[in-house]
Amino acid sequence: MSGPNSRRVIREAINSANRRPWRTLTVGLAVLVMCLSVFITTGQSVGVERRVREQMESESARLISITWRVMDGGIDPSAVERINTLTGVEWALGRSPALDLTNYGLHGGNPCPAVAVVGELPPQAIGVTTGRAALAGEAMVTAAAANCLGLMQPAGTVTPASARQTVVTEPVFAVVGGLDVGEALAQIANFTFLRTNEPVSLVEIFIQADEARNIPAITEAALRLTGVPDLIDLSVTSSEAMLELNAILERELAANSRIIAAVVLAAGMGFTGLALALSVGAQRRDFGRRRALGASRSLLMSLVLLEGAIPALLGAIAGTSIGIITLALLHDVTPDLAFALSVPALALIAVLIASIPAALTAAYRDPVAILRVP
Amino acid sequence: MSLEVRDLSFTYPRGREPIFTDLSVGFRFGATTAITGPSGGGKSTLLYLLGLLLRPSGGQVLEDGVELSGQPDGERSAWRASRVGFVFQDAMLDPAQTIVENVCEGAFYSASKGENWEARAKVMLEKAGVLARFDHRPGEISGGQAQRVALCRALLKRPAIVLADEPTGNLDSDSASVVWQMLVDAANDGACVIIATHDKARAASCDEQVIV
Ligand SMILES: Nc1ncnc2c1ncn2[C@@H]1O[C@H](COP(=O)(O)OP(=O)(O)O)[C@@H](O)[C@H]1O
Ligand SMILES: [Mg+2]
Repeated sequence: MSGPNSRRVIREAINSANRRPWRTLTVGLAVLVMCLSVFITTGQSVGVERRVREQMESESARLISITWRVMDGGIDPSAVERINTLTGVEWALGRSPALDLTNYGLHGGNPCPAVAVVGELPPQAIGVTTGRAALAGEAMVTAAAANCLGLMQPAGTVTPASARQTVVTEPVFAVVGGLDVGEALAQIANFTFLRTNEPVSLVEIFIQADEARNIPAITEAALRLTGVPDLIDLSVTSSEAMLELNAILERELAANSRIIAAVVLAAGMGFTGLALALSVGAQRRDFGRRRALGASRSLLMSLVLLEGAIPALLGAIAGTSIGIITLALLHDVTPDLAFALSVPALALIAVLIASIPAALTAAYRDPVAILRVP
Repeated sequence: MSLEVRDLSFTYPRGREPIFTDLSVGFRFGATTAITGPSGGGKSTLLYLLGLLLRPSGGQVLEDGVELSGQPDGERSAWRASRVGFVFQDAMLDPAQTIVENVCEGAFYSASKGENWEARAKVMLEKAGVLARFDHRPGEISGGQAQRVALCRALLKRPAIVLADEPTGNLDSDSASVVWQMLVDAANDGACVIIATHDKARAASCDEQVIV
């Protein structure tokens, strides 16, 4: 006493869906669009997130700068080597206050900016273009510095412009090589780099962290390793604030795409619900006939739900496939399995819920009233 | 075997007066029973009650002493699907399905399977003289042919009970004779055939008459 078995019901629902191609197409397309738009909006925010993260991992974003903020004195140069041994530190480089240099070969030449540097030149940030790395008492010039000094090529001799300067004690430095300073150290890209014989006091230490998320820990450890007794004499510049902004941005993007997904699902649900209700409403004779021929209410409900669910399933599969392909092509993003499965599942559930009113209408209409109308 | 209504009364939910009060009638298997009476007398209503499409306001519909009318929808539908062949005044074919598919729908809602319903449908269409149109749609056949197709659908699963509401009501005489003969044949095969009709001559030709 249970009516046709489920295989026959599904076959009948497929036949019935075929007989109403417009409704079937409408439902299928609606679900396809639902899935696709969720994938695309979410994929977009995943893409944005990734670009932000890439930015966060760029060299300049991972650079920490510790500066001496008092007029006189500075950080002991031995701090650079200590900081270099910290885990998570790619390199550390210290610099003296800036001083002016002139080309020793030209009388009354231009004063050009220079700094004494402490620590190995990091190949990631500074490239030696010609000549060799400077030893104590020697200098290297960037292209801009060579230009300023009037050096045709990175060779020659430079001298501090004023005898009153206290940064370096050497009277002359031999220029032995050319430099190319990367974006991370753009601040000193125009400078002549000096290597001194005597230790110099440092006013700034650049530290490159291996990962953006290590910046806070490295900063804290590096401050201690400066050996400066009163940390109030130091100030720190880093992307730590950006790190926080990034976390906020990620949260906001995730929340946003959830809202968009919810709106898309709700809109799709309303649309398919309405389309099904209208279509089923126009089908009263069909349901009256079926009831009189022995279809139970639950069978009619199953038929209406299946007639929505079958095209919805196809639309979900198509929308998900197209969505995944689009994401791969546009944003180079592959959604994880749970997400890729939950989008079509949610769309299907939304359509099932949306078709309940239509199913109830079909099942509870009085068949006699329908049979009486010729 | 018996089909009967006992102390049946019925009023439409929005009806002024009752259509039936305390009606008790038995219907014989292997016989034709005509339901006659004036238009609006309640012939169709009685068929809907017998087919369990309407619930009685009082009294019962019973088969072999088992009350059917009070059962839940699933049971009533299953009974209708397996025991009853319904012929409506209007053929009520599905315009989207072919003639033979329409006939096969007569067996779809019962749980029974195994028989080649399409082959049997074609045999019946042949008998009804509309086989040539088996792959046409209802929109492409005449009213008389449609009613013959509807009768094939009703008789497809060899129902024990046939309920026919003015089956010859607006048919040409040829179609009417074919339809009537098929109903009589069903009764001869043992079915309880109940026909609402206002055709006095045909009613008189039935084995029994009930006047409402
Ligand atoms: N849904 C309804 N509500 C109220 N009265 C109805 C309804 N359907 C039919 N009737 C009335 O019930 C009576 C019996 O109708 P019916 O069984 O169709 O008669 P018959 O088939 O003998 O012509 C008629 O007077 C009709 O107007
Ligand atoms: Mg009538």
